[in-house]
Amino acid sequence: MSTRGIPGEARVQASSTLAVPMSLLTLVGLGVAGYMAYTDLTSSTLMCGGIGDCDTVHASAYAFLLGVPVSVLGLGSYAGIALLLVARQRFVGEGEYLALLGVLTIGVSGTVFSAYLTYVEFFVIHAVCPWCVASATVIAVLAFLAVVNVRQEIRRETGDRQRKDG
Amino acid sequence: MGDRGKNPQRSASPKPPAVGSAVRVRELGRTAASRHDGKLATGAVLVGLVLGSILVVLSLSTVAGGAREDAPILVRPEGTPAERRALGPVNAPVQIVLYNDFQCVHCEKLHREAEVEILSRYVATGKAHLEVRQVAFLGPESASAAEAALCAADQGLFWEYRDALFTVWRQVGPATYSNQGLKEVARQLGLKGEVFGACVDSGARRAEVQEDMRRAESDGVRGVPTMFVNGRRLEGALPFESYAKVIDEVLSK
Repeated sequence: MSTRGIPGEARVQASSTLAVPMSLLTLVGLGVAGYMAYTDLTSSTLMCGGIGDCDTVHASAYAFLLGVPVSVLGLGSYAGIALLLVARQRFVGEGEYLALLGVLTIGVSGTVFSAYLTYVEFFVIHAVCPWCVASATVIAVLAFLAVVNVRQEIRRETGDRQRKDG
Repeated sequence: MGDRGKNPQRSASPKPPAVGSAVRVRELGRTAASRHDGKLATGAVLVGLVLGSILVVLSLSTVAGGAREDAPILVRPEGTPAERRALGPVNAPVQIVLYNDFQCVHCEKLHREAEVEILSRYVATGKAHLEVRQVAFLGPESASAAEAALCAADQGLFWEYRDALFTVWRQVGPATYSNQGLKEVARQLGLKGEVFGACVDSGARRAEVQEDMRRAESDGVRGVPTMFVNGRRLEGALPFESYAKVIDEVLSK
């Protein structure tokens, strides 16, 4: 979304509107990863609702990283994003921007790892867990929104500087 | 972002706000950030890509077996016959069927934890009969391992071989289930190498594994491990107490 050349208020609205979908997606991610982590930590059955094969995916060696369930790592990532989004509301200036970059970093790393896990589901263990695919989708969209948001911030800063210089 | 919504007009103003105000602080901060925006953003993406790649490499190395914790010492109940793939009296009041897969981490956990208790408290005491059915839900290595375990059963060492496979797999990963790995575990257990090798290489027990798969399907097994206690289904690697509760209920009837 381009914000170049529009009045300041409109630009502010364009940027801040992304905070809402990013927050909602983070809540969805927390819920999905939290449920998967709970079933992994309690060794209980992951309800698949007849779609896919959750138990096969979660019983495979790929479901763990150095002995830690990857669902717990996912939960940690979403918790980190949630904290950074909250921090954005409280920080000012560079701190606010750095919090957004933190979201971007977690989003990109999560997207890379989720893409790998999704590949493993389809082509290595030949079983798909809808919860995992949902989480992978959420983190990918979050990363995309973070990229868009960063671009908006950069354009806005450039516009502000140009106005001050002019 | 929230401050923008509270005071949206400030960004539109070309004049700097008064020194000392909160808005002024924000503007100063934003000006400082603007010097780094592009580089920082690129750096954030690159760090994300590197972190994601590290996670992938760690996952691959974990699966390949480089980073597993030490295996526990497995306790065998004394006085139980170690032959074929069932333990305990055939006419025991509690009939337990356990479906597991050699590549399933929860199966390995169940084998290491609750199963040991079940064997010592119920099977070794003659109260229960436990039959293990090896299924191959998680790929060809699972099938190879299941067939090899049945080849070991031919020489009366099914349980010992199964223990060893889970233990070695936990330590070294999928390489355990290569043709060479399966034979090495057999050699260490003292199985007759030529007989075992011929059994594994010829796929002599493949039909039996396929039969277990068929029975799993007909029993409605949706994942592993799944245990049936007199027909009552228990899914996942549950704590021993969960199994004991069901078994005790059967015994009390």
